[in-house]
Amino acid sequence: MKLFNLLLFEYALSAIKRRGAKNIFILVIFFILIFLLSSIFFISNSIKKELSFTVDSLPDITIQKLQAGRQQDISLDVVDKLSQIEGVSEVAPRVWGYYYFKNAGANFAVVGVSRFDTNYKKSIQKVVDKFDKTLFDKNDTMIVGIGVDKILKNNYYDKYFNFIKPNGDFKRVYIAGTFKNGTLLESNDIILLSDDNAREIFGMAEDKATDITLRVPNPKEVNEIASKIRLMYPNFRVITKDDLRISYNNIFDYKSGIFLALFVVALFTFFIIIYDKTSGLSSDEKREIGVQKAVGWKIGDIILQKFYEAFILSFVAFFSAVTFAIFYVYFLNAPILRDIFTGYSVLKPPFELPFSFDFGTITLIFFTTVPLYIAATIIPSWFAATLEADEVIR
Amino acid sequence: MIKVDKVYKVFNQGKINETIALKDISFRVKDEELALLKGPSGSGKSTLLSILAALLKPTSGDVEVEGKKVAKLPDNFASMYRRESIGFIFQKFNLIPTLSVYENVILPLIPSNLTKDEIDKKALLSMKKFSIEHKKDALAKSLSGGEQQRVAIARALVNDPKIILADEPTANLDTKLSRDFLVFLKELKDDKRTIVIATHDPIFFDLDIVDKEIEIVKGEMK
Repeated sequence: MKLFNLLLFEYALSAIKRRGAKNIFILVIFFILIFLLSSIFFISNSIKKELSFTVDSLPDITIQKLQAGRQQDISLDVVDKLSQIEGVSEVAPRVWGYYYFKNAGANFAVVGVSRFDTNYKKSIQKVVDKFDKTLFDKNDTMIVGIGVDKILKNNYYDKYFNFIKPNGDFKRVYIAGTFKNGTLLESNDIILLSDDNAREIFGMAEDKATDITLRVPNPKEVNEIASKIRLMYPNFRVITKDDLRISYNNIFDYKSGIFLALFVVALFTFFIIIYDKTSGLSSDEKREIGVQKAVGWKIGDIILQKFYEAFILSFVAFFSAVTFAIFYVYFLNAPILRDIFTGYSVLKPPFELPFSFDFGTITLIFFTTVPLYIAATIIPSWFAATLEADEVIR
Repeated sequence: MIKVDKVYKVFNQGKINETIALKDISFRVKDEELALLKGPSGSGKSTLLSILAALLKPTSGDVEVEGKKVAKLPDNFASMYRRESIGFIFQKFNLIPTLSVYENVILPLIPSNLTKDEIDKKALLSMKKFSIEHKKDALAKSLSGGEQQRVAIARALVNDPKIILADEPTANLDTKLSRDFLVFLKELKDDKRTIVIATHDPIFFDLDIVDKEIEIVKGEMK
């Protein structure tokens, strides 16, 4: 028996057409299932890719001070001691925190940087859109994320914003620029200003910082240095880049879980179809098999025809669903579904999903759906084909 | 030559509803002969015809068709035997209602290794012979009883079998169409085919084209 028989293939196509309504229903369910699965994996992979870029740019070690299990401001006295550790190339205290803007019900991430640090100035210019350099050189200016800018404008803060300090006084800071649209997922809710201003807004003393970051040029030394710091300062929390990577992955694996719940309905319907298929053929289908056998079809011919039928249907659904998922995720930027991953704040980041096609994932989806459907189609047909034809057609 | 020797067929053997459908059936049909299997409904004629077509296996006994033992043929060989040697006309025609006339006629040829052109040629010839080619694109379910029967005959003959088996071929036809069938039957006989017809329709009795009549009553030969 030839594996490909054109006439048998045409017959399979006509059989699909003949049972049009039923097959369209199966095609639609199959399409939705594969589309959801593919979209979930595409979005999840893209965000993980985006975040891995972010994690790569994070400091090798971050040090925080803990008191009563909560993060406290850290004294700058330790900076010198940390600089003396072998293998550490740079130690930088950071001033940052969250500012709650009551009118919009939104939290902004306020990050302080040194205005006199030339490296910062260069890198800021690269990622900032609508940048007023002259304004930025003055004190009391800030660069804001797209989301922050939008919220401020909605609240009539076009040029500046009045922060409320812990003592109740106002601190006016002017908007010098906005981060580029779609550059960084996490820049959306950020306000970048000088560390002096950040301290003032948070009411932080000059000899304190929120945390301290360390650069370790040799990645093999990171864990060793982290251990040393833990021994030196048992009350400090020492976070390595790998810890952050795991933490990010956990967040997005959890969010993938929410996504998984979405297609449970589609999966359930798919299994009903599989159950329906495996629980038996309709009397018309059985009779057709009986007639085929009566006129000289072998069991193998019948199975091959059913294989073509199931393969055409499932492959068309699979191929079109994956293609549409690529278009939906990477061209349309996954409207609605993306919010499940990123919509944790009033500020919805306007990022674009970077293209990340994982062939392994697609193969996995293929092998967990298409062969399952083909088997569910072939097995009952095989049962019917092994019966005596006389029994089926009488 | 068709040889049937001491054929028994028991349905549901050993169960409470055991039924003996055929009992000690033996006969011969020579090449190019037309034989009638006569008998009332439920006498076992259709069962015997199914055994001749290897659609059903006898419980015991031998069946030989053109020197080939068909009683115990494995499933795939039975299919090959039907495809190459047998043209079966079913009582209820057994067309696939949602296929066109053409698609029904070529059904036995689809799994063969013939080219599309060869299949087209054979199908057209067969449809022409039984005057149904003008309906080739019509769905089988839209045809009249007589037309359906012609499609069933065209399908049975499309692979040019030497042996034609017909099960109650006039049971679903009116008198006029039954007479038309006799005309087809004569043509088949003239084509030098071996024909076995299972029927209880008196229209076939005492026809001069009939060479042999085998009467079966309650599964036994009279």
